[in-house]
Amino acid sequence: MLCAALPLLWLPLAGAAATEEPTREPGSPGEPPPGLALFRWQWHEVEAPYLVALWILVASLAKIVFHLSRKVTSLVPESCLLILLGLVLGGIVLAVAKKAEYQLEPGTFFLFLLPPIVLDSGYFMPSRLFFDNLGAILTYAVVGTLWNAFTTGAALWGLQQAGLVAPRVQASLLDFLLFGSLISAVDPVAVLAVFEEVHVNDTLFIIVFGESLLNDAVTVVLYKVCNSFVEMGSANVQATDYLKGVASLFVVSLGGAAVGLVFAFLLALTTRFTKRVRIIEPLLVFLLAYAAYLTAEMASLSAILAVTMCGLGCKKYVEANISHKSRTAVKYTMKTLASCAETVIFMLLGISAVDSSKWAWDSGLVLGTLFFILFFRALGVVLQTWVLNQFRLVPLDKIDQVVMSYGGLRGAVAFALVILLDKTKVPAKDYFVATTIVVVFFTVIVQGLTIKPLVKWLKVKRSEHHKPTLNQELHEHTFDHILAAVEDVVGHHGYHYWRDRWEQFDKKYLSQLLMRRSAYRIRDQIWDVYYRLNIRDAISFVDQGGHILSSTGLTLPSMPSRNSMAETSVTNLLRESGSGACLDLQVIDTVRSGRDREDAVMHHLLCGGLYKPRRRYKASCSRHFISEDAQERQDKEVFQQNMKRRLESFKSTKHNICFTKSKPRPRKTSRKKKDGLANTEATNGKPPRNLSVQDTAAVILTVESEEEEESDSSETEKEDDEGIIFVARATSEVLQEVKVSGSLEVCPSPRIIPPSPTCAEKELPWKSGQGDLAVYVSSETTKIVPVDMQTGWNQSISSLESLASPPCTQAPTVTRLPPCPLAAEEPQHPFNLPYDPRPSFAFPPSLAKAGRSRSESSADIPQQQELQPLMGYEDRTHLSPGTANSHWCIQFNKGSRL
Amino acid sequence: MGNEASYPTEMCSHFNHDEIKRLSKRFKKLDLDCSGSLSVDEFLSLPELRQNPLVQRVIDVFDTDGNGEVDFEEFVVGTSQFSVRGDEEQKLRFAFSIYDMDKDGYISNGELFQVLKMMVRNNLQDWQLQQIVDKTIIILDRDGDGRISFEEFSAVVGNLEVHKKLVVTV
Repeated sequence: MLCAALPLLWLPLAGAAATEEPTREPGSPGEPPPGLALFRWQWHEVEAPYLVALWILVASLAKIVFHLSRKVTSLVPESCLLILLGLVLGGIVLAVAKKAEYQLEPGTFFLFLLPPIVLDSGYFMPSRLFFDNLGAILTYAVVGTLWNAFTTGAALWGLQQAGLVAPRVQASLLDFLLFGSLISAVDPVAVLAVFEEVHVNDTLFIIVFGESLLNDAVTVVLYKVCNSFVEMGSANVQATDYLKGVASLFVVSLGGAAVGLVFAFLLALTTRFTKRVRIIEPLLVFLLAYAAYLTAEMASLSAILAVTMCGLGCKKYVEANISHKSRTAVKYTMKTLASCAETVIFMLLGISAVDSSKWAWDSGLVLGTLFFILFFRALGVVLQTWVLNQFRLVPLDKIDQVVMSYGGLRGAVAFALVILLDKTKVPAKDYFVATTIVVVFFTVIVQGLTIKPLVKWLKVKRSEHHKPTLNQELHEHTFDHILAAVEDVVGHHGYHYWRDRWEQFDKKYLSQLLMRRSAYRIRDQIWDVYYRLNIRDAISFVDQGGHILSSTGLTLPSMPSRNSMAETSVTNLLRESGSGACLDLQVIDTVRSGRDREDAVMHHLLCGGLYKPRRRYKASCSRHFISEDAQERQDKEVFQQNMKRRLESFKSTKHNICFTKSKPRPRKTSRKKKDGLANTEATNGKPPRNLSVQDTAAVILTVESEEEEESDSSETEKEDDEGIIFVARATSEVLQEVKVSGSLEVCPSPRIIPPSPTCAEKELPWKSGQGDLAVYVSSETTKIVPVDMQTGWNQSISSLESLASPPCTQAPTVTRLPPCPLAAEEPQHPFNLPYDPRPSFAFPPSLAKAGRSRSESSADIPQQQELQPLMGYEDRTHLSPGTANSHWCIQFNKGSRL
Repeated sequence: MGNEASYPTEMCSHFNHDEIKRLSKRFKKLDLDCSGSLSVDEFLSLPELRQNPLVQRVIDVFDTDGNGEVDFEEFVVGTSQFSVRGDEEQKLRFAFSIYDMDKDGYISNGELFQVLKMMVRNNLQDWQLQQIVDKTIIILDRDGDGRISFEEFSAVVGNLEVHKKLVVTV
């Protein structure tokens, strides 16, 4: 919107551009040959958009430069810096082009630069806060602005009458009132730019900011009325015109708000039906909001009010309707546009000030105006606050009033309005322009610079930026209901009564109409907050990189007892064995998402078949790093793996339980599914998987020079995979399978896992992970989850992270595996065999007991004992007593099982 | 009944005479059967009150002696907690007792669940709500006893500037 539109700004400026451009683009050929040109320079065709883009680029680069230094930006508001930059640039342009160019054109400003800023502020306005303080905001916006305009205008006129303003300023009372009306309005752009950096408390901010937005209607009306009076000549103004002026105040403000609400309704309704064309959702938001602005502008209603209302009104429904990605897109685009527009506005303001031809200086007028706007603003605020405090339940104190008076910044709106004045009708226009520029500069630079120290010095209550907590949301809901109930009981129809009524209405009709049914159903604020909190927890959980990956991973800071534990991989191991009994930890584990399961699955896939490329990679990558030691270990590992595989293939063929599913034999797979495994999508997604596995196998063969046949190895590899996958399956199946196969198992090899799901099932955890999660979580199998996960994370955390993608990408990822996970894993290799088995042995004791033969569980125990001493030490040092106990408890259990 | 002079003013120190007079008028209006106390049915005769999910809880909290009816004294004392002049502790207590259904001084998991259930009605599934309740309790519960004492409650909720929010003009 902005980029496409800005050309208007530059159109009249072709001349200057032509003189300036060559310096910017050296190497342009002088005269193109008359014939076929290999290279033609067509500046004029792209001139306008090019210049716009260039200016925005300059502004953005300036922003980047400003923010390089924290010190500067923390002291000086960005708006000041931009204005100063504008002054410098304006000077350069003036020096180069010999005339002032690139000024802030009122048309561009009102049609293109202002709307994004207003939309952004309206859309992201904290609506609850806004409506809570609506009374105060409206008072300041309407009464305050009227007061400011009339008193400033009248006082200036008095100044002129007293002879303090030079007589060359030819202005009547009406002219002064006109000037007063345009200079009195607090500017939303300037206020936003300064106050966003100051962080005063929310109430104060919303009052000042809300006022600056809503006073637009008053400003527009006053300006138009005064302007038309001036143009009519004061002698021709009838009494009815005054009445019309008053009436137009209502028409303009209420009309603007109505236009905004109508478009908000349309917008919400449209987004209800965008389910299949998600891609245009963000566009719709911008288009309709802009349409609201233009419509209001067209009807000479308050456009700012229209867009504010549109943003405010539609947000709830739009946010519910559009997809998550669209929401992000809307948010970022809006912020980008607004910030871009703001930057350009301040820069152009600076540039415009350089043009001395447009303005004429009069010290009396300038100083008088400066004094009056500050004085009357302060006086107005004090008077209104006194009146308001009679009604407000939470009164505004003195310090708030000081900040409110001082925060009355003037900005680009005033400047654009003063430029719009007709010089033939207002002879003193040049003086007014000069005064406006000075006022704007003074308020933005001086007040903008000093407001931060002032706020600090007065100890104004800052806003603590805390994220919405579940408690806050819950209790505020409760408070609302309580208050509404008590208001009803005492029969006082106050604010809460009406809010309650509105919410009833909204719930009954509006939301039903404007929200997608699915969105409406799941729409509940409490749940929203809960969901967001969970996501945040999950993100921080992932950010911590699995260091605290056991159950504490999802605990909250406010859970001191569990928090204090330092989680090492060894304690994780411990936890693993303890997870069957450690009940209260389980409670949290059950909240685990399907993602964890995916991780676990991925891990098993990895450590099963894909370890060798890693080795090779390392050897080639950091040659000097690899020692004979590593080589030795590698060989050992290869040997172990091979043995394992052979055993498995032997067993699988013998017992006919594990399904062989190499590509050449797909039929066999389906045939062998007679064990009653629920395998409906057996052949889905199989080819890619097979391929990847075989690839890996091939690599293995070449590198390690294994003597196994390729087909054999690939086959076993796959079985490996699937066997491991099994771990993450739902209970009933697990049980079944354990029963089927457990008794047949002879060898305690870790890889021998009860009959495996088919390839399709391998896919399942990824594809339908969310789907069957509920079953998974609710049943007893939950006990498996932490175990898998912990082992997985312990072994190769980073490799898991790099693999959080669909299974098909498996093989490539592995070859590219970074060396770091390897290093982390290195020390564990001696344990590889005893260690790896954990996932398969990690069934809840009950399951394990049910499924396994004596011999197997006895094989299990020495292994545990091997690890025990190590864990024991870590345990005592790092674990809280509770967990330690649970661990030992488990050990006892295991022992007794023997 | 409704003779406000019979109540010592210190009992409802947060209200001045005018406010008590207004309350008394209101009380009489609500007291349809002129029994001198308001039953739940009388409260629910107000249509807008009927839609309020927490009205039953509010009445319960008002009814300090637990006889199922709210007499004038309870009415004034109850509403006076929402006066601008009421202190923060009082308001927090009121909010707390909204949740504390069995008046044992603790909010248990089940109580929180029930109150929230009233508020969300059928917007949420029970298991969703239970998750929320669990999480809330975990956040609030400092000493790990699985329930929330008033101290734990006010430690967190006190930050919400309750004294500014829980205010009703009479």
